[in-house]
This record gives sequence, structure tokens and C-alpha cells, in this order.
Amino acid sequence: MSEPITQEEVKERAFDVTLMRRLLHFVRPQTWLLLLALVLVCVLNAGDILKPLIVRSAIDQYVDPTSSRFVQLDNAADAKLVDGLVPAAARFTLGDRSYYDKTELAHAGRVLGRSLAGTQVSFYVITPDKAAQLGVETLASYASQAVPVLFEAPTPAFAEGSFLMNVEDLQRLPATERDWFRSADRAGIRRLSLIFLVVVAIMLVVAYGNRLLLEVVGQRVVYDIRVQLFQHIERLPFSYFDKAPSGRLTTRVTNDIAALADMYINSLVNLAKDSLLLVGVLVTMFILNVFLTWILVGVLVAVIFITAVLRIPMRDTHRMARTRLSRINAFIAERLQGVRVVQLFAIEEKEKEKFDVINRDFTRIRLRLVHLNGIFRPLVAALSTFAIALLLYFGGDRILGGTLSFGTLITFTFYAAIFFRPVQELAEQFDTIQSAMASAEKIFRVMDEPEEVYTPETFDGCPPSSFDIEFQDVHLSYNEGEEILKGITFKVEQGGSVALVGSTGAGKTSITGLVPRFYDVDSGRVLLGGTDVATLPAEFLRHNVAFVMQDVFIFSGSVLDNIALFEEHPDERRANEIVDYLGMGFVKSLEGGLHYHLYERGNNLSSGQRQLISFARALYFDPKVLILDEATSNIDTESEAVIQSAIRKILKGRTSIIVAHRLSTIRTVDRILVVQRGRISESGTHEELLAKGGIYRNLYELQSLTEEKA
Amino acid sequence: MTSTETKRTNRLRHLGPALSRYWPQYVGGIMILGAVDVIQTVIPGITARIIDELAVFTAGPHELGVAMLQIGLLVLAMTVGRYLWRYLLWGSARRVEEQMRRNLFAKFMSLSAEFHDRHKTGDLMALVTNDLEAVREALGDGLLMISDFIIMTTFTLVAMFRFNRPLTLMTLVPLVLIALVVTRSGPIVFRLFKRVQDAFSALSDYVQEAMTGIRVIKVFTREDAAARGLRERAMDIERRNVKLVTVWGLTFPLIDFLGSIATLILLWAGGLLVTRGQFSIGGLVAFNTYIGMLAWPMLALGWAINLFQRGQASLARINEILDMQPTILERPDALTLDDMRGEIEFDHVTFEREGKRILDDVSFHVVPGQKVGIIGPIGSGKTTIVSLLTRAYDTTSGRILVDGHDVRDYRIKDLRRAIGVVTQDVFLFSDSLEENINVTELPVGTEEVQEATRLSGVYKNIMEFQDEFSTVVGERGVTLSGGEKQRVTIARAILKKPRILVLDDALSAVDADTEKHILDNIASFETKPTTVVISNRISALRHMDKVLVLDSGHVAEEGTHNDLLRAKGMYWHIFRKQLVERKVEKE
Repeated sequence: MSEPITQEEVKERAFDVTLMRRLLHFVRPQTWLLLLALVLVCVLNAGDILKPLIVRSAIDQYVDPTSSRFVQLDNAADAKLVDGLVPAAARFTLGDRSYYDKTELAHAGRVLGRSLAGTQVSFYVITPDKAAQLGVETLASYASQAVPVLFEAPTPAFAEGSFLMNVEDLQRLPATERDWFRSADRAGIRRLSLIFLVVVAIMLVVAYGNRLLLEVVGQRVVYDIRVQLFQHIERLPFSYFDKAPSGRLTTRVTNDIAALADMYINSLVNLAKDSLLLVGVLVTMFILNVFLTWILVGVLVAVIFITAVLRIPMRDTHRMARTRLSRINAFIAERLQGVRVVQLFAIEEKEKEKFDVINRDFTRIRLRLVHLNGIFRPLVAALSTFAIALLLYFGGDRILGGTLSFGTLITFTFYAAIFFRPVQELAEQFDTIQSAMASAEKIFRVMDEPEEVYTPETFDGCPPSSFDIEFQDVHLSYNEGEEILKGITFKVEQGGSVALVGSTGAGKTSITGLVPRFYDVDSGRVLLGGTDVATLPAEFLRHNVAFVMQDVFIFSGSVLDNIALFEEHPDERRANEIVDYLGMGFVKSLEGGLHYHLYERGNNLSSGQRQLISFARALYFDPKVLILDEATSNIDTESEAVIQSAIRKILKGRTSIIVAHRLSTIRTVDRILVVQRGRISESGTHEELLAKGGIYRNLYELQSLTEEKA
Repeated sequence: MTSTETKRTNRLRHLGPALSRYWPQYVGGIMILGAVDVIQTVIPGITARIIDELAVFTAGPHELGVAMLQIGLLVLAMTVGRYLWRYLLWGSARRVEEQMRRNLFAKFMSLSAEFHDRHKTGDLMALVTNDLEAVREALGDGLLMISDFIIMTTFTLVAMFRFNRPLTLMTLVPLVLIALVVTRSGPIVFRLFKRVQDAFSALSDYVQEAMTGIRVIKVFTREDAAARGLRERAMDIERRNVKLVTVWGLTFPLIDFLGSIATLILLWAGGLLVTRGQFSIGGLVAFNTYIGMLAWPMLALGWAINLFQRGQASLARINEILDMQPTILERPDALTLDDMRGEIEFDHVTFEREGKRILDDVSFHVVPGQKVGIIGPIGSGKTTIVSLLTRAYDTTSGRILVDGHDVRDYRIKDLRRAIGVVTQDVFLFSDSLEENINVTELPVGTEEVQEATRLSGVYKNIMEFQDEFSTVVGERGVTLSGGEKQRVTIARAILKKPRILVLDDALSAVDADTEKHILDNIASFETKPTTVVISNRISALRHMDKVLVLDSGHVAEEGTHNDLLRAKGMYWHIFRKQLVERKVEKE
């Protein structure tokens, strides 16, 4: 209860290495599956990078297999000057025309000190493999015509066995002839399309498989943490539960772990995927064209810059909106719970005005978020469109210069589309991981609580065989300095019974809790069969000592489940015997008898019936010692009789301690102890104590008056 | 709860007024959205033209520069436009949401006790959180996606048709499939998702129960057995999540795949067309961009349909509540009650709820300024008397008169304002103490607030807090003890300067001396209000002018303390018991 509120409110947490290491510990059993997932991620990334490359090949090799690197000199006289300056590989002659590499010619122009005018020419290139498809002889016959349109490509400017045709000449050919020339291209397009189909089909399967795999891995990890945390909580000492509200523990096992699931399933692997994709695309682009890559990197830097600048106000505004919204919801919830007060004081209007203020405030913050988002998203979108414009401008210039192919330019526009995405996603993953960290911290805080010692080191391996109980000067305090028991000493013989009486808060219940070792004593000893309970295993104690609590807790489930308490295969016959033995006739009248479904808290039973179920529960495990904290609440008279007889039956032959509230119960025990402010002030039989005329006598009178009225 | 049937058929009956205030924003937003979409379809055209010009050398650096400038300007316009439609559409959705939340809150406050008895806080909260969100999403994102789908699809298709008709039709096939996948898988995913949520709440219930009953589990060493139950439920979550992903996990890869198929068709069919000279490379590039632009609206269409379905269901639930009318009604010609004298008369009052008779022919009379005590066991109907007096409920038969008029004749607020009630279940808001005490409609001065706390004996306690009257109560602030809370609520009632003051078991958590002190203070009020003290402690009632003993809904005994002791009935019995109790406590 003392957990500071501020820690509960912190939803994000900075990246913490220790925390991360502890979290990864839970992933270890899934290492191989996770590695497989990583491999699949790499396959997906490879596919994403490959797709534009296939398109590039298709365009450059088959859709537009032209070369526009070469220029024809306008002034034939320049040829003599230039020939010496341009290397042989960068010039060739077809028929009566000479062609020069555009870049080299410009270079020569600079050497000569004057610009050399030339006309750019596009050549349709038939590569040797295409030539083979079309038939080399046919092509050669075309090339040897009187006025040829097709030429054998000169080496070393083109690969040996290639053919060239001026694109303008190609266009001038009759359609059938032109189509014939390009039939090899169509075959190529079909082949690459098929490869493309195979790639995307593989990606579909891999992406789906990866998604399933991650889900399985994540869910398994979450399952493990959840079970481990729950089992750990179960084994925490009783004193822990006095302080920790059950709602908070529930949240740890449910919602906090769900936040972790999000991280395991999505963020960690996506983080890897996005980073790898970014690197992969970058490397591929650098290989294709360094200059264009730098352009995109420049735009990427701008995107990162905008993300970095706007992320913080966006996150803060988001946080503000969240706290504002929870304030609104808290306000409404509270006014609903306190609607009587609002209406009794006729302050509906005033409350509405107050609500308007926080409601408007929330809208204001949300609008600010719309504003920030309105800047951020369109700006990023604008940058990616602008990146394509830049590619076109600078790439276009290079296409004109003959140093860039259309395929490469188009490939870059493809990459531009997937290049900025990882940055956006990385920012989001970061937020998810941060909030998972906050949950992880809360979970580990519970995990770090020391568990109760179930089997003490001092246990000598032989549990006692007799079951008498002895308290020797026992002192107990729950909080330091507040002693609840101040020297309790008494003994119950095996099979004997004592009743503890006294006003509320005197320490009766505290005494009973020490026998099954719910708490450890400050000093003194509690002995069971002559052995200190501090040296006995908790399982042994709690198996042999049945504890019937004052307020009966009913779990949702059948009557049988509640008697056999979660046992996997409950012994129905035994339960039936107990039900008969204790006179629980009502069970038979329920629909389905022992299988009748009880709702949470047993709301569909009377308090007397609930009590009887708790007795049956205690008997089911056939304990040697019985501790009974009798219910104070009034029970209808007919149940009362059944309960009294049941109490006599469950005490029979068992060492028992009873916190008694009813005279009839008190009268069934061997001895009565009056507890007052942590001490035993009177003890003896009913008659002895009445005769003594002390506190017991007053308590007795009070109880008589109470029961008289009932 | 009564509303005309014709009105009920109009789904937008409550949303309409809020929407109509923002229709210019909606229309403007959608128009800008359309403009942005048009610009978006223009850009690929520019790209295509420049690429084709590059192929035949008709474009040089100058043309490239011009194209880039054009694109740059268009991008700028798009960015501004995108900001504007976001602000107009999403902003309006937020404003409509604000309005609706306001209406819901006002409705909650106006509905009678009977409504609040029947509806759990959690259920009503779901209305202002989940349902309102669903409506807002339909009005914001849903509307946006539908508009975007219609405008974007239309313009893109027009642009594509102008390039090449057969190619457009071919690439459209996988894109339409995307819309189909999303629309079809939506409900399945929703159902599977609901099953995951069900499993999760089953787990939550189980853990909550185990944590509440942890002592039973430990007492019977059933830790392992309880953990088995957890494993089953946790495993169930795992299984259902995996099942969800078998469908949901296929959605996005499938959409990616279909998008790629569209690209493939373009490459294949478009590429072949280029080799035949019937299509250009620029066209290929433009088409590829168009495909990208169409994929999103297809996705959006599927989502929008799902959003509208959810929003409609939520709106129906909200409408149902907004249709409700208070059951406690005021007559149109209700009397004003400026200066109450404080006379109360119950005239053969019978009150039934859910078939149970709570009060059975109760009659009594209290003159102005009189002090009346009421005692009786739990469920005897004590609190019901207060509820009827303040018209939280109306009587089943019989009349309650205040100053000689039926309480149903007065204006409700006048009546409630004149009666100060300290309720049994102390309720404080998570506000400052000052705000909690000063809940009168017209705020009064600090001086008076302090005086009220002095009279209720809590002034000193408050001044001991660090922030004194500004101390915030509840989860976010200081936790008050039961006695302190009771005295704060007494101060709250006293501050109203009521003509009738009712303390309903309001002193149970204070000790006997404080109780006497407070009762003495109240008795010495100059205004001499009629005072009704409901208590189970004889000490609080012995100085009353009159005590009523209630038993199972009827007045069993009536008289002064001494009268009742002499009668040796229920009152006398309680008296004797409390006497011994005191004796035991003292020892």
C-alpha cells in the first residue's frame, strides 16, 4: 500500500541494461525459434531489396535495352582532332559515321579549349544471348545489307557478338519486323516476371510463417513469465498480503505481462528487421549508384531530424492527453459513485461546469496533438515525395549524360518508398519498449520479494507423530514496536480443545495463525507434538492443521471444487460422505448437487451454507488439528442448529483451538482462555470462570443478551 | 425512459445537434482532402512526362528544373492541405466527442436514484470511454477513410484510364481483392480478437480471485493446484492468440502480396506493351505510383466499414442512455420553497422496491425545530425514510408532507437545498477539503466553511494537515480516518444552513465524547433546524425529543427515551446490551 504513487504513474522508463538482461533470460528457452525468426526476417528483407532489382533488370535489359552514351559529331572535320584524345574503347565507327562517348568527348573539348558540338544517339543493343535467340545468321544478313540499319557492335565498346541499331531506325521499321527484333525482350520480361512472382510468393509464405513463429515465441515467453510470477506470489509470506492490495498483484500477473508480450512479439524483432532493412537498402543503393544514394541519405537525415525534433513534444503531449483523459474518467466515475451527494446538495449545474472545464482542457490537448501530427506526418510524406523529385532531377541529368539507366533510376524510386519507413517504425518500437520496461520493472519488484521458507533448514527430517499444542511465552508483532501478543503461554492436549474469548482486537486470531506458521514469532516458541513449528515444513503443518477462517472465501466453481479446493481429480465419494456427515442437506437440494456452480464469493448461498462448506473443506483433508475462527455474523436459526452440530462433529477427536463467539460453542470445549490486550487474563472451565466473576462473566452476559434477541 | 417511437428511429437524434455545429468544418475538410488527392494524382503524370522526354532527349536540364519546381510547389500545397484536413476533420471529431461526453455526463447527473441503482459504474464508464471512442473513430477516421476512398479512387482511376485502359483494368484486379480481404477478414478477426479478450478476462477473474483468496490457498497448501488453474487459463490465452494470428497474421502479408501482384502485372503486361511501342517507360513509373496510391484506399475501405459498424453499435448504446428520462419528476407548476419551516409528516407511507415492501404504513409527525431519533436493526427501513423525504424515490402509497404540502408539489432543487443530509456511506470527492465541504450552489466564504468544521468538531484535525483546507482527499492525497470523514460530511451538511438536518448513522465512527460534543453543537444552532438522527447508539438518541423504533418497515415503538425504557420493548433491550458492552470495553 505504501508503494509511492509516482512510481505507478511512470509509464515509460529509460532503457535499462540490467532489466533487459533479466528479460532476455526468459527468452533463452526459445533461442532456436528466435534465431529461425531472425533468418526469416533476413529472407524478407532480402526479398524487399530484390524486388526493385528484378524490376531494374527487366527495364534495362528488356523493356528499354538502349544505350545513349554515344554522340555523333556534327562537324566531321573535328574527328581528326578528337581521335587522338579519346581512347579506342570510347569511340567507334559505323559505316561512315563516328561515335564518341559523351563524357570523353566533353573531356576532349576541354583539352582543345572549345566545345565540340554533337548529336546524342540512342542505340538499341542486342546482347549476344538475345542474338542467339533471334539467330545470328539472320542478324548478320541484316547487317550485311547495302544500306544497313543493323550493325555488328564494335568491340571493345560493346560485348563481342552484340548488334546495334539506331533507335530511330528501329522505330522506322515496319511493325512486324520491329516486333520480331523485340521478341527476345518479351521472353526476358516473361522470365523475370516469373522470378518476381516466385519471390513475392516466397515472401508471402515467409512473412506469414514469421508472424506465426513470433506469436508462438512471444506467447510462450509470456506464459512462462506469467506462471513463474504467479507461483512466486503464491509462495510469498502471509505478511506480504497484509500490505499488498490484491488488485495490484492481479495487474502484475495480467496487464503488466501483456505489455511485455507486445514487446516480445513485435518490437524486438521489428527492431532487428528495420535496422537490417535500412542497412541492406543502403548497401544495395551504394553499389548501384553512389551519387543518388547520397541524395536519399540527405533526405533521410532530414526525416530523422524532423522525427527527433517533433517526437519529444508529441510524446509529451500524448502523455498529457493520457493523464487528462484519466482525470476526466476519474471525475465521471467519482460523480457516478457519489451521485447521491450531487443530487442531495442540488449541485448538478456546478458539477457540470467543473466537468466542462476539464473536458474542454482535454479537447484542447487533443487538438494540439492533431496539430503536431498534422505537421509531422505530412512533412515526412512531403519529404519522401520530394526525394523522388530530387532523384528525377539529378538522375535525369545523368540519364542525359548516358551514365545512368532508367532501370536504376526507377529502382531508386522504389527504394525511396521503403527507405524512410524503418526510421518511423524505429521511433515507435522505442516507445513500446520503454513502456514494456516500466511494466518489467514492476514485475521484477514483485519477483524480488523473498518467498516464505517452506522447509526450514533446521528441519531434521522427522515430523512429530503426536499433535498436542503448546505456546511458550509467545510474543508477536506485525509492525515493529506494536506488540500484538505479549507473552502467551498455554497447552492443549492431543484431542483436547480450548476456546479463545475476548473483545475484538485482543489478539485471538493472531494466536491461531501461529500454529500453521502464518507468521513467525518475535520470541517464545509454538510447539506441535513437542517440536517447534519454526523447524517444521509448512506443507506438513498446513496438511495437518486445518484452519477455518471467519469470513468464508468461496471460489467460483462447483461445490465440490470448493470442498476439494482445486484438486485435479476430487474424490466425490469422500465429499459426499462429508456432506452427509455434517448434515449439509442443502447441497442435495441444489441443482446438480455437488456440481452446482457457485458464483464468486458464493453470492448464491446463505452465510450459513457458506460456513458449512468451509467446514467440509477442512474435513476433506482429514486434519489432526483444527483451528476454527467462528463467524460473528447472525445466521438464521435453522442453519444455526445445523452449524452447531457440525462444529461438534468436526472437533471430535481433533486437537482444536476455537475463537468462539457463541455460548453453545464455548460450552463444548474443555477449557476457556480469556484473551485481553495480547495476554491471557483468565482461564478455566465455563463454570470455574463464571464463579470467578471476572471479565468472562461480563462477556457471557453480553452474549446472552445478544442471543436472547436473536 | 419514455420517448416517442418516431424519435427513436433516427440514429443521429443525439449526435445531430453536435454534428450540425461543425458541418462547415466537415465539408471544408473533405474538400481539402479531395484537392490533396487530386494533386497527388497529378505528380506521377509529371514524372512520367519527364521520363519519356528523357528517353527521346527532348528534355534537358531546364525542363528537369521546371519539373522539379512544379513537383516542389505541389508537394508544398499538399503538405498545407494535409495539415488543414487533419485539423478540420479530426479536430471536429474531437469537438463532437467533447460535446457528446458533456451530454452523457449531464444525463448521468440528471437521472434518478433508481437508474443509478440499476446501472453499475463500470458499465456507465464503458459508455463514456469505449463507446464514445468508437463513435469518434467512426466520425473521424471512418469518415476520412470513406471520403479518401471515394475521391482518391475516382481521380486515380481517371488518371490511369487516360494512360492505358486495359492495363488499368488488369492491375485493378488484385487491388480490389485487397478491399475484399480486409472487409471479409474484419469480422472474423474481430470475433477471434473477442475470444482472446474473453480468455484474458477469464484469466483476470481467476487471478483476482486467487489473490483475494490467497490465504485460503496457502492455508490448505493448494499453491500447486491453484497454479494448475492458472496454467490452463494462460495456455488458453496462448492458444487463442495463436489462432487469432493464423487469420490476422495473414492479412498484412496477403495485402503486401496482392500489392506486389499488381506491380507484377504492370511489369509483365506493361513491359510487353512497351516492347510493342504501345506504352512508355514513364507510363510504367507513373502506374507504379498509382498502384501504391490505390492500395491504401482499398485497405481504408475495409477498415472504414468495420469502424462504421462498431461506431453504430456504440452510438445505439449511447442513444439508449440519452433517451432516458428521470423517474422523479417535477410538476410544471411546482411550488417554490424559499423559507421552509421544517415540519415533516409521514402519512401512511408505504414503499416497495422490486416487489419487496421496505416501509409498511409508516406515519409520524415532526414539528419545526423538533429533534427526532430513529433506531432499528439493519434493513428496517431507516435510510429509506431519508430517501423518500429528499425524493430520491417516491412513495408507493401514502404522502410525505413538508410544511403541510406534499413533497411532490415542490421544486425538487428547492426541497433538497433546504434539507441537509449526512449520508450513512460517507462519500468524499478526490478534491480539496474546502471543495468537499463547500458544495453549496453559491460558494460561501472561507470563514463560514471553517465555522462549519468547528461545529462538526473536525477543524483541529484539518488544521493539523500540512495543506490545511487545501488538503486533497483520496487516492491522490491524504487518507482520512472514518471519524474524520464523517465529521467532514457533517460540516458539508451544516454549511447548507438546512431547515431540516438529517444525520443518517453519521456518528458511528466517532467516540462517545465527540458524538456528544457534535450533538450539543447542533442543538445550540440559532436557526433551530428540525433534526433527525438515525443511529444504533442509545447514547446518540437519549436526548432527542422523540425516538422512533423501526422494525421490518413499520414503527414498532415511539416516544421519549424514558417512555421507551419503561415500555421494556426493543429499545429497552438494545439499551441493556449496550450497557454491558460499555462495561466490557472499559475493563
